[in-house]
Order: sequence, then structure tokens, then C-alpha cells
Amino acid sequence: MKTFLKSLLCAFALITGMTTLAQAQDGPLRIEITDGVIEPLPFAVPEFVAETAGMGEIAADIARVVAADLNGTGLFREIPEAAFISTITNFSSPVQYSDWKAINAQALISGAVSMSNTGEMSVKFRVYDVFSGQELGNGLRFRGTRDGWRRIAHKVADAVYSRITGESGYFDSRVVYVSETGPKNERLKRLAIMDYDGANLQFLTDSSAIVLAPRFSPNGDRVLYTSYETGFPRVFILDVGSATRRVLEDQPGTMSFAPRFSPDGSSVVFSITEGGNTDIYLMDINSGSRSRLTNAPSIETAPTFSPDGKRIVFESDRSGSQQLYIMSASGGQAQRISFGQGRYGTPVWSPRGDLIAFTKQNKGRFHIGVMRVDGSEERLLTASFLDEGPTWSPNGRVIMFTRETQGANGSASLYSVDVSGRNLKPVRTQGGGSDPSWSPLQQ
Amino acid sequence: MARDKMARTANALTLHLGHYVSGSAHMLLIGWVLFGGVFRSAPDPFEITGVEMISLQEFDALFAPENVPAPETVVETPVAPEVTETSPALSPTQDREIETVPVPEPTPTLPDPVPEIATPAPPPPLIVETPTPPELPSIEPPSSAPEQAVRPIARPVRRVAPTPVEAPDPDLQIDEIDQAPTAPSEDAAATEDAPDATAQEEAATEIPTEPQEVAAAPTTSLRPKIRPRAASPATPTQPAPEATTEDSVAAALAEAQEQAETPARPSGPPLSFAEKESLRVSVQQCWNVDVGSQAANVVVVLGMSLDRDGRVAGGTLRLLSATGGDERAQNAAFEAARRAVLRCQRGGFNLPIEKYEHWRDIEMTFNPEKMRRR
Repeated sequence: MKTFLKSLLCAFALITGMTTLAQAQDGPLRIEITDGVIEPLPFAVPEFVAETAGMGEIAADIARVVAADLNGTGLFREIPEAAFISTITNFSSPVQYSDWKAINAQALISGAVSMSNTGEMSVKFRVYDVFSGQELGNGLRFRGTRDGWRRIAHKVADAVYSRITGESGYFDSRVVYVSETGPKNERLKRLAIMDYDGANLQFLTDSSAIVLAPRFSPNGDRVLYTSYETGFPRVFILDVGSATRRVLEDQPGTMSFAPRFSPDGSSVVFSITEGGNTDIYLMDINSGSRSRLTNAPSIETAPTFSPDGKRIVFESDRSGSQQLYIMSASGGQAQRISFGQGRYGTPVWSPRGDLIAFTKQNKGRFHIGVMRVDGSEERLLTASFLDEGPTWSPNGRVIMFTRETQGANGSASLYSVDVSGRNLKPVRTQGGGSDPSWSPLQQ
Repeated sequence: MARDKMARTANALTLHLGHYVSGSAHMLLIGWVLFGGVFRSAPDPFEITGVEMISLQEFDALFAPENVPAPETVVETPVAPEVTETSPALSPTQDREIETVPVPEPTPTLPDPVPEIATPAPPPPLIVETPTPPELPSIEPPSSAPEQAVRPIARPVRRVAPTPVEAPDPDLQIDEIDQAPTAPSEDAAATEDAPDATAQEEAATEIPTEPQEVAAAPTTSLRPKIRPRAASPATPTQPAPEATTEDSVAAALAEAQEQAETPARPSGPPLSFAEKESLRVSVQQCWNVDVGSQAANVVVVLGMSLDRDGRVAGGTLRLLSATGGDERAQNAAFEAARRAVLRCQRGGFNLPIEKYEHWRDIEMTFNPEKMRRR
């Protein structure tokens, strides 16, 4: 009996001992990291390898465009070639990670360019995560014509961006905007289209009539805009490929403006001013039939669809000051979402669907800002004499807008800012520009 | 009686004398405080002057006859002209430099644009033609097909023969053996498979090593484990009949307990706050958070095992859990966290070797919430 008790006690002591021990340190060491750093990720892009003769120059150019795209995001920082310990001369040979670690390159992009007998250019690349000594994704190849080399370079940069950030890129995209030239009192305005980085500029209209607020269709093939061609503001639709245009809404005695496509591209939401009252209408592009979405004595304008096409955000002064409202895509009761000080206008729904960008005027200053769809977490990203008309990059990461300077010689130009409020910078354009609209990623 | 009275009054006088004295003294004091000007004004501002200790010789030297007057005259005369001469000379050159710099600065932004302006061409500029048709983002066969197949295979390959799985296109040969774990950007689900594979592999290799370490390090907390082990071989030596069933049950129970508790319990004092903190700080220095990205909504927990040098043991770094965001965001958050660990470990994290058991296995949570609010 004694021994039984003894052994029982032993077992009990053993078990309790073990449980207390387990409580003292249970499993692995746990550490929580909450404070990181916000800094551009250093990367290296050695000159792409020219695999066929005569491709050296274009291989270098492509690498430059890729580097410029990534640098321009503010999220990456290129390590200058002068710092390289080794370089890549053969696309297929293994990478010496230690050489790139030594210069603190966290990402390495290698690429090669070749030309086939049929005149087809081929660009392939790989992305390496230097510190884990692994390739990020697999090698990828793009084929195209030599003339389209910039697009190929943008596509490479998009793929690199996507592999590192986990989000799609925005480099292979275009921007349509109003090009402004000449003095302030006699300014010539034309619709212009260019790559997102300012290259490949072309004009879509002449400067005979004032044009306003061009908007890309969801697949980038058409542009809606407002023109004074007929003497009154009218909404036009223009085919980007052929540059042919037609008036969309031409009811005598009215003004139509502020058009935007629905996410499926089949209809247009816009404003009509009739008898001094402005309301929002929806029009089917093919049939031309239209329906009225708002019916208030106040001014309702600047409508934009949500990415899922179910709701519309717009600006209205029905409360006495200009504020943002959301309603169903079929009209009806609207819910106010902006409650801060000042006036809110030109709302644009982010392609991700989570944020709404807007222009805010408060105490004589203009801001570009973003808020959540329910109006919470308002964040102002810019401040200046006049900032307005935000447009989202295809991935919902960057906002482009118009900034106008003060005074008789003031001029309008395009700027872009990261949605975090960082990396504010001018967009390169030929002369002045306003009212940008960012295309989706090109297919 | 009268004497008594007198004595009492005298007594009272002496008794109260103290009160009178103290009362009047206090009155005086209060009066002085009120009217004497003690609080009338704030204390005079005072200056702080530097004090220098000097030796006797220096003191003597200071008061040597010629010392005081001479420097004054010497200093004053030369300084004045020098200043006036130099200052006008400097300012213009600086101005010139500053002026020249800003002028070119704005210009480069404008002339650079590559755009070939297709002369104000209102009619029909054909834009889409060149780019759209040719671009065939040819995701090469190997990238999609082998990736999924390779992942499970890749691990064994590393140990047996590091020959990459050949794919149709020679360009896409997998040079790096470690290539498998990283997923294609398209399907992040696959990435999560990879860490899993490593986890299992490691779990298998660790189990045999741990008991050995336990046996080799018998300190306080290990005692309970060792005893039952010793007891079981000992039982035969003990008089066999004595061994009661209860004993063997207890022994079996203890043994079972021991076996259940396979992962070694760390022994000795745990890491101090400062030691944990230094590990945390060294990792967060390298944790680069892209606050505008979707990945900034993801909390990831990484598991890893460190070797005795404080370096992550090969293939043990794995994703334990990720909350928030979509798969791609989670993948990006994992990559960023992994980069932070691998980049900052350098020669190994600085951890006390005597506490190795405590930091061999680490679970690290990366929570970007605070960063988002910055």
C-alpha cells in the first residue's frame, strides 16, 4: 500500500511538474515585430544580355526603362551599375548571390533580348530574391516587334513589380489628358494620349474647340469627353484606334458633361443641366436610351461607378455645401459619406474598390485625398493652390491629378502621388496638361 | 490662599509666556514676509558663466604686467578690415552658384520626354496598331506545368541529385535548387504548399536529434525525464517479485509522459527581456513595410529553427499563418518578413549560446498595423 501511495505521489508530482514547466515556456520562443522601416527596396538591373547581334543598344534601353519604372514607384531604389561586383553576361548561368548580397541588392533582375529571323523580338527575364537565394517565380518571355520595345519593357517591369509586391503593376498603361499650350488667356486645349511615363505622345483632337475631362473606357479602347464644339458642353465618345468621334447626348437647350463609363463599358453615367438644375443620368451607349438617376433641385454631378457596377458615388450640394454621396446604380436614396470640413468633389472609386479619391477644398487650399467607402479614415495626400481631378492607376496604388499654379502665368500640369501620400512628383508631359484619366493595363 | 493665587497666576504667566513669545514671533515673521519684500519680486535673473580651473602658474601668468592690455589692441585692428574684405568677396560667388543650379533643374523634366510628337494631328492617329497584336505574354509551358509538380519533388532532389527538372525551353531551366518554394505570382496557394513541405521535412529530421540533446544536458528540469528512463532498466536489477503492478503502471505512465513530451523542454533561465528585445530590434531594422500595399493588411507568423550560430537553419523558415488580405498579399507579406529575417541575420543573430534551447525554435509574428497608422 505504501509503495502504491509512493508511486502514485511520484506520478502526480511528475505530471504537475511537467505541466508547470510547460506553462513556464510553452513551445518556441515567440517574438512580435510591429515596427518596421519604410524605405525603397534596393534592386539591381544589369544590362540585358543581347543574344543576337545588333541588339546591344535596345537591350540596354529595355533595362533602363525597367529600372525607371521601378524607381518611379518610390518603392524601389536602383543600385547604380558602378557598384556592381559582377554582372550577368549569360542569361542561363547561375547567379552569384554573394556578389549581389555584398552590394545589398535585395532583388536582382536579369534579362536577355534576341531577334528571330522573322523579325520578332523576344525579351526574357528572371527575378531573384538575393537574400533567400531563390528565384521569384519563373523566367518569363515576351515577344513583340522591335518598335514596341517600350511596351515590352513596361510589361517586364509590371511582372517584376507584381512578383515583389504581390500586386499587379501599372506600367503598361496609358493616360489620356487635356494638353494645354499657349498663354493663360488664350490657351489651346487638345485631347492627348501618352504612355503613363510620358512617352509616345499623340493628339486625338485639334485645338479648335475647348475639350474637358476625358475618361477611358474600362478596356481602354474608347474615350468619353466633354467638348464645346457645338457651342454648348456636350458629351462625345471617341474611338482611340481610329480617332473617330460622335456626340453622345445632343438634346437642344441642355448641357451634358462629367461622363464616365460603367464597368462593363456598355453605358455611360453623366450630368445634364436643364433649366438651371443639374441631375445625373444613365445612358445605354448602343440604344441611346437614358434614365434619370437623381431628381433634386440641387446640383448633382461627377458620378462614378463602383468597380462592381452596383453603386455610384457623386457630388451634391443638397445639404448646403458640396459633399459626396453614394447611391445604388439604379438611383434612389443616396447616403452622404463626407462629413469633414470644407467642400468635397470629383469622387473616383478605386479599382480595388476599397477607397474613394476626391478633391477637397478647405480654407482656400485644395487637396487630393482618399477615404474609405463608408467615409471613414479620410486622408489628405496633397495640398496646394489648386489640386483637382484625381484618377487611379490600374492597380489602385497611385493617383494622378491636375495641379495648377497661382498667378497670371499659372499653368496646369499633371502630378502623381502614392496612395500612402508618399512619392509626390510631376508627370512628364509636353507642355501643360490637365484632367488626366488613367487607362487600365493594356492587354 | 493669596499666595496660592499668586503662584497660580505666576504659573499661568510662565505657562502662557511661551505662547505669547511664539505668537508675537510668528506675527513678526508673517509681517516681515508680507511687508518685508521677501516675495515682492522674482529673484534677480542670474547669469551662468563658465568657470575654468587654472593652475597657480597660469594665475600668475594672467596677472603678469603686460598681459591684459596688449591683446586688446592687437586683436582689434587686424580683424575689422579682414572681415569686410572677405564677406563681399564670398557672397557673390555663392549666389552665382546657387542661381546656376536651379535653372537647369526644372528643364530636364521637360525636354527629356521621349514622345515623338506626331505633329498636332487632329485627324486619325492610329495608336493601338503596333502594340496590341504582337504582345503575347507567353507564359512558358514550364512555368505553369512543372511548378506544381516540382514542388513536392524539389525537396528530395536537393538531397539526392540537384539536377533541375528539364523543361521544353532551355531558358527556363531551373538553375537554383531552391527555386521551388517561391510560388508563381499567379497562384499563391502553391507557395503555401512549399513551406509546408519544408516544415514536415524538418520535423522528421529534428525528432531523432532532440532526445540526444536532452540526454546530454541534464539540468534541473530534465531530471524527471531521466529518472523514469533509469528506473526502467533498473527494475530488472531490483528484486523482481517486489515490482508491484502499481509501480510498473506508474513507470509506464511516466514513460508515456516522457515520450509524449518529445520536443525537448528548454532548460535553464529563459531569455531576458533585453535579449529578446535585441533580437526583435535586429529583425525589425530589416523589415521593410510597404504601407500602401495590400500586404500591409496581413499579419504573418513565421516559424524557424536557428543553428547554434544564430543563423536560420536551411529550409526551416516557413509560413505558419497569415491573416488578412488575399493570397497574393499574404504571399508578399511572407516574402517581406522572410527577407527581413534572412537579411538581418548576417553572421547569425546575437543570442547567448548557453540559452540555445530557448531560442532554437522561434515563432515570429510580423504585425504591420502600427506601421499603417504612421
